[in-house]
Amino acid sequence: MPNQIDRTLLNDVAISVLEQTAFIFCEAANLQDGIDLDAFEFIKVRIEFSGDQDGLVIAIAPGKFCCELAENMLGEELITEECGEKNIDALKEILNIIAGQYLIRLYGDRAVFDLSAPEATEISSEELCNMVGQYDFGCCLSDDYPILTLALAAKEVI
Amino acid sequence: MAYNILVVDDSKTIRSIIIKTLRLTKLEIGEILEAGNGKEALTCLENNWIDLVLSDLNMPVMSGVEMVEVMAENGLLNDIPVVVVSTDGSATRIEELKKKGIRAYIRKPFTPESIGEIIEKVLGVINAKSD
Repeated sequence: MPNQIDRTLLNDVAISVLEQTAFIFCEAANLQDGIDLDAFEFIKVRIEFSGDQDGLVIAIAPGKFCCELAENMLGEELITEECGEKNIDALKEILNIIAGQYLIRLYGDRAVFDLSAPEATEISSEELCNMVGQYDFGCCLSDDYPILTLALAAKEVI
Repeated sequence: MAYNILVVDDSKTIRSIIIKTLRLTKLEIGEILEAGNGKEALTCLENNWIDLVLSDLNMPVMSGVEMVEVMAENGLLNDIPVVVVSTDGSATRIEELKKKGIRAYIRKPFTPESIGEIIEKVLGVINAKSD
């Protein structure tokens, strides 16, 4: 996996940000331990960074989890129709915070980075399995929901 | 005194989170207005009495930095304090922003306590709501 950077640190930051921002408690997990990715439709969010180092950060989580995430962040229960936009916004915001904290932890607080606006796409479990075969994702579990993260030191098309 | 606050962020969900957090602080809040980018914020500032602007940095159409630069050139707007709310934690970036006139910087994630404390300091609040 060329260009891949510090998976464990990224996963640790993701767990900490989910707890601080949305009161969601996760445990680090290993994708090789038979985590079922077929049970969900996923949302993928991607942010590119440029500056002292160029690269990108990705977070992928089930749509149902993102709805819980939005509810926790907003402090209100959402009806199904409201979930569509807000769950994507919630995951975008979480990845924004993860990316900011991760880059500081990795490169120090004197380094300057410009982050792109987060881009979100819905992906099937099959598409996710293909990506997992190509890249070494970090993973944590909230209940049975897998949350995957990846950082690359290059702006690859992924 | 109740303060009118303008919240500037391109995400409606994030604006909602910031507004909810503001309501949880001890600040006397008057009206809270919203804008989706720097350009909308400038229009809002020209048409409303605003005591404080809370702004994101990276936004389409006009960024938070561009908005502050325009405000600095406008004699009617250059006294309104701007506090940046962002995930960007670079100390170098924060120093640059302060040179451009930004009063304070709130790093996400924030709590009602942390956001309240910074705003009180910026506004010089002495009459925050009691519990």
